[in-house]
Amino acid sequence: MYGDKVRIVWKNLPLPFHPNAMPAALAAMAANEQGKFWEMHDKLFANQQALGRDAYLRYAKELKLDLPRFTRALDGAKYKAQIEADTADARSLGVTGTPGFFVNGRFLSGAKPFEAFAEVINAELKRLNLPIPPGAPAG
Amino acid sequence: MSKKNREKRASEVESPAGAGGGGMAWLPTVLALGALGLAFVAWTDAKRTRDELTKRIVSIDQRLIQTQTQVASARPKPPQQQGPDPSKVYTVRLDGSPYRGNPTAPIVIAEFSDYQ
Repeated sequence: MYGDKVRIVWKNLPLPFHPNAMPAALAAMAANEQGKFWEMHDKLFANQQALGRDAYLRYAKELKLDLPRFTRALDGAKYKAQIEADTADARSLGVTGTPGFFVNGRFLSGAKPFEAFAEVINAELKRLNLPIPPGAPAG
Repeated sequence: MSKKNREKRASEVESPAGAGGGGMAWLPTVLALGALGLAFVAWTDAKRTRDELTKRIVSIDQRLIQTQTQVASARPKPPQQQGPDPSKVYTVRLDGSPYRGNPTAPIVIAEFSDYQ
């Protein structure tokens, strides 16, 4: 309902006590290299209980990715460095848990109901003198 | 010895017994006073013990409250209160990160997350 008013940016924060979180983050970044980040992201999210290398390769195949290229990206240092940079950003911002959101720089922690986001988004639209789209929750 | 004298003697002889009877009359009073005294001592003793116990209970209560306060303050705060200050505006580095939606949208949501 906010349509083109909103951009959602993914920042990696694989928590150290989630052993599959880093490899899964790498799989998504490897897919991103071939323009299929959100497709991989959705598959990883839908199958959180079945994370593992075989699964990542299967998803890559299902998404018709270039498999040798995907595997190189998965095993290379490039995206690991990017994920670690994201994690360092989270640390310097003080984000310790997932998910953590910044709406135009304003922090919202945890899995909040949509209304909590709408409230911050509406306040930002108001501040920017932009109309609040019809159908958006009041707040 | 005249009869009168004998009577007097008799009364004199009797009198110690009489005095003895009259003398023994203080005994119940003394016993009662003694009992009262003992009761008073027992009562003050009980009162002192009770007061001491009350004092100790109050001090235990106070220490319990202190301990509870210490435990509550030592307990880690709920995650909601950790992390960035919700009233501040932060700058999040976004270059090179995957995104969806309008690249020039006025609202940018940065999501820090993982898949597990």
